[in-house]
Amino acid sequence: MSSLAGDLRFTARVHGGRVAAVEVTSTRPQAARLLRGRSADEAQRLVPMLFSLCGRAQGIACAAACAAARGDPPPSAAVVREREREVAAEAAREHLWRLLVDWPALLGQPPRPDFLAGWYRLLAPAPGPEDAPYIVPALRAFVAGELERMAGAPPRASTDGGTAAAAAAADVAPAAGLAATVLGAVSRHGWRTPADPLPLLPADSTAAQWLRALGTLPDEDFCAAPTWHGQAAETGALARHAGAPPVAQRLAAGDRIGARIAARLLDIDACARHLADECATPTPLVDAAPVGQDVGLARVETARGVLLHGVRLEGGRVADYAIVAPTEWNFHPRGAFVREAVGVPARDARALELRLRALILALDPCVGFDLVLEGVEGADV
Amino acid sequence: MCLAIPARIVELLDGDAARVDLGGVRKEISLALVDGARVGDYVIVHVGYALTLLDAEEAERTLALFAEAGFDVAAQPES
Repeated sequence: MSSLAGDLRFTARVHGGRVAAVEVTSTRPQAARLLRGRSADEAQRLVPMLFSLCGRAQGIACAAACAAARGDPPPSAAVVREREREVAAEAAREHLWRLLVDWPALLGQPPRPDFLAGWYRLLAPAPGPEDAPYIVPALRAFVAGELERMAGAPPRASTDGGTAAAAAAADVAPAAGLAATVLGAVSRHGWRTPADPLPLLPADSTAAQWLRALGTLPDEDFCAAPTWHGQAAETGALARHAGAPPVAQRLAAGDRIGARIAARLLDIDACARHLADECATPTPLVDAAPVGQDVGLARVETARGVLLHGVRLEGGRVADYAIVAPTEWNFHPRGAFVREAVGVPARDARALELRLRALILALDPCVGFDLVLEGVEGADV
Repeated sequence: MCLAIPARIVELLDGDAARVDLGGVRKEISLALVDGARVGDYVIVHVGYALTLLDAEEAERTLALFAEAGFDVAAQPES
């Protein structure tokens, strides 16, 4: 169903028993157009409302870009820490939603919104310095337990019984094993990427480095179909954790869908470390750089990947605005989804639909989508 | 862009379910992810789950901003 918020349509055309071509059609509107002519303050109030899933990251990107454009002094250490916590908590919530609800539902396992609700109570709103010492160990223990189960090790008993951290963990303990079960089910499908994979977007680029690569404020064409040095590239948890053993092993085996799920788990751990004010990534989750007078570019690492906001102010009002969102990288017409869908065996419509939906979920578009299969017997999607 | 449009809770149903009103369109959603929601509260909804609880004043400010930006709130089936 189409809406003003926009959606994506994927059309896979089958020929000769394989997916021969995939077309991505996006009706996602350019939110940036809504911001032109508004004051910087109005823009900062409006932006979080345009995005229900990553509103905090979008709002922080807008504020950071506007501040850079105005030439404001760098934010205080307290503001920096607060932003990192907000972005990390939002990303962790998104990852947990995929792992505890969306993946089980896709694979025919019972989705567990009740487990997700336990985590939501701990992570929304983002835990402050008083709560983080109780919540962070619970989140890290969850990830460690899932990774051990994935590796075939028996889960350890509760890490630190009697402490408040253990009490927080007890609230969410029933989730234990679910992510590992999802990954096990994906592995059993034996899905292997048929083509050479797409390059991964560098995960440690600062706003200043993006600025050097882009040269200027991104235009609408770039925002709709972004490239890195002229090439489509993948962003997200896989790009951030491709070198970690649980991810690298799956990449080496051609299991890129499983690799992305493992990367999500590792990303939850990185989010937990950010909530504890540890430097979990080589670059901060949020930064910004002035592009020139009255122009600023901000970068935020979100659950789905890198988010860029660029703004040009004139007399304190938005003259130009650009948003480059992760969905446009991963569902680029030559992006990771298209690259990994073309060539997939298509003898059975149901199996093909499941595999393509798994690939879509692994890459995680931030809006609703339709999947259309053409040329395969029994296709009813 | 996945608009964060406030929907008003008009009825609490069994379990964690509730009925919300979004610009005159009513739908059933889950309140599993928010605590303490009551009839008359506003929530931000995504794929059938209330994500955020808003107070009425904040929600009305948001709806006014959407109206000013030219959005037809009733035409938003997903959020």
